[in-house]
Amino acid sequence: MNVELKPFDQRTAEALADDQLRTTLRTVTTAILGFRKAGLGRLDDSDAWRDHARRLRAHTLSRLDTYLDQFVSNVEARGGHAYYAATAADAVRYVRDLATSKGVKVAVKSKSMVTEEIELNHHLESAGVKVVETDLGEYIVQLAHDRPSHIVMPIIHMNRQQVADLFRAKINATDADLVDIPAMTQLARRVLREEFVNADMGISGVNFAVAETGSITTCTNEGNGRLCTTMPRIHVAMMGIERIVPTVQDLSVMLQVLARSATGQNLTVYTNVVTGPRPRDGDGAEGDGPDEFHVVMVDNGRSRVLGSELAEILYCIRCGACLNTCPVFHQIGGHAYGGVYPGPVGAVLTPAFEGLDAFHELPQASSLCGACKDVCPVRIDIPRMLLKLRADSVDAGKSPWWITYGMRTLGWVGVRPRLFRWAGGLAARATRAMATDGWIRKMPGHLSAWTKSRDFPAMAEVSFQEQWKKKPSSHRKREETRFPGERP
Amino acid sequence: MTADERARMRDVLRSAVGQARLPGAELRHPGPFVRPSVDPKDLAERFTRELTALGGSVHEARGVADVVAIVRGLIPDREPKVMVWDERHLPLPGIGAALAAAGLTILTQEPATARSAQHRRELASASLGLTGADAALAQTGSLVLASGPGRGRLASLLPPVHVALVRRSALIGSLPELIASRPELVTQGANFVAITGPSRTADIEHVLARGVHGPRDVHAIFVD
Repeated sequence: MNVELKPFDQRTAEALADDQLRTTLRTVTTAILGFRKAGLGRLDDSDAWRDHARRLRAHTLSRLDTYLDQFVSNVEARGGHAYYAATAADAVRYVRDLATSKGVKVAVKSKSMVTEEIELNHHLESAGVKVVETDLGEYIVQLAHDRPSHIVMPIIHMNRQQVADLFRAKINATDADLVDIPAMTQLARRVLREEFVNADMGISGVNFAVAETGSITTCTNEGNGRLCTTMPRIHVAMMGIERIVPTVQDLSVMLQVLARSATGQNLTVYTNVVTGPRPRDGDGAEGDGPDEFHVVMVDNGRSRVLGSELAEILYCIRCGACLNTCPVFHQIGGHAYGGVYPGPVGAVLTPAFEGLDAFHELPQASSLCGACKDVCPVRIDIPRMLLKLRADSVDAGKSPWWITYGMRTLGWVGVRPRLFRWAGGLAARATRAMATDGWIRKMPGHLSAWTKSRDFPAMAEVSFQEQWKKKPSSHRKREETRFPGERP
Repeated sequence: MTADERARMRDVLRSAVGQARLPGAELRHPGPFVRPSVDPKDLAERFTRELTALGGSVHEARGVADVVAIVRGLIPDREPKVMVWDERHLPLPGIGAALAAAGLTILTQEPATARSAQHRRELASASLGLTGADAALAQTGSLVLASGPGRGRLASLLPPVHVALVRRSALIGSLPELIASRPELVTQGANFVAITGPSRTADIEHVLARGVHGPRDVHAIFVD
């Protein structure tokens, strides 16, 4: 993927030039963070729920082999089919072959990040299957040939006028259809209802799969997820292999924190649990639901990440809170991250999945302020992993030459106190020479990037070390204090 | 999955798990976690407050006639069609006949007609769906429905209005409490759903719009 990905600098520059995008991001994410706080506030002892949710994620991944195996047994016991897809290509092939062999013409889809990851739509379309996204935001993304820019709010980067223009161009919307957002929503309902009636296959994501029952759960607000898993004769659920919980009781713990962290809702409107296809015979026969149920467990690099120091990122339950709180995301939005998963979680996931070659800048797209870790419902230490990735990219020789050599020189000078003091004095004089009123407005060379948006202070007349030496020894609490490398 | 595929999956995962560095991971399952959420005497009041805050409505009915009147009031159509759960799964005997007598066309779902496009189109034209509820969650204002024979999923999904008949005994604090006391309910049918208010979206400019794909109006009627 990302064959035509623009360089990171260019992506961020474009995003930063889009004032409207930044205004929207700021407004919406601020509102959502407020809802999140209120939502968690309504849950007694929310910290204990979050702690337990974290324990569950950690435990489950430490026994992932056992739980996935148990899940497969239970899916099959309820008449469903399970498939482990080692790669994106395997996952695509399974779904495409299924669609082709069953004569599927139309597939309706509810929101699923993992299908974005494996580019399922594209592959099904080229096999002659019409794929219709049915989540309102994803439908708009599909009509616009765009990409979602937020895990939970796919079109956070678009405004109503852009959506109205799109509806006019693509689905012959009239002025009455576009009078306000509820009217636009009703138009989408009408158009998509027809697709639901005709569809042969429903493709859904999976928020949580339950090992002890073989169930999958989707958490949606619009109802399209329920329709996708109910109306078509074949239901295919697409899940990342890490999306599993051991028991239904554990599922209820995760549900307590997911929606509250994502949008501040107590629960999403439809917390939808599917266990197998509809029973068709005997006393238990049901009047609706799919005749076939397939679940595709997508690995696509996850087992490799699990076996690495970045395994903790697999605790993620895709609530999007780290995006909403991130000062960098506020400025550049989701598309600038370049991967399927934006924001702080994406800054770890994308390089972990795709490698540092194309994405070594992403771990730098963070101020390491730790806000992501604070809001994470399962308290993932994202800053730790960003630092690890930064170290990896330095080891892999990804830093610019002037940083590499600059740091090497600094390190060399730093352990030679005389040289360090001399160089410090030189630098102090240089900064004072460049400064006006104690501030440097423009630094030379590469350092000018720093002074583009802020001033740099000139260094003090008397250095700390000089001040320290002049102090009477009685004021020095610890006489034995020595600087690194200094001889007694 | 074939035995080979399954063995391959286990091998890949076992070796990954063996090397995994998972902060805070305990090998033993941490056990169940559930907390009492709502004082038992406040269940109905809290449920009503939560569902109402989401744009849903809560009614009380003293019998079949009350329910018919409420349902009739929610349907403006001349020839109203209503999707209704099989009467044995509704907490009010005789409600089906009473609705028919009030001039409503009752649509039901049978296993044999599940795949008929014509039948589905007819169901999609219903203006109201009437169901029971296996539980009502006070903490969240949710209606919990398990699918089964005569208890179709589409009745609470396709029509623009969903009405659920609820016994007060179905009230319980929260989803974790429900699942702790009745875990089998989750897998009793092929589908288990907790419906928390009307269908909604805020995808465009974060403006709330109701009734995207599911019902824009959700009503719970206490029938006892």
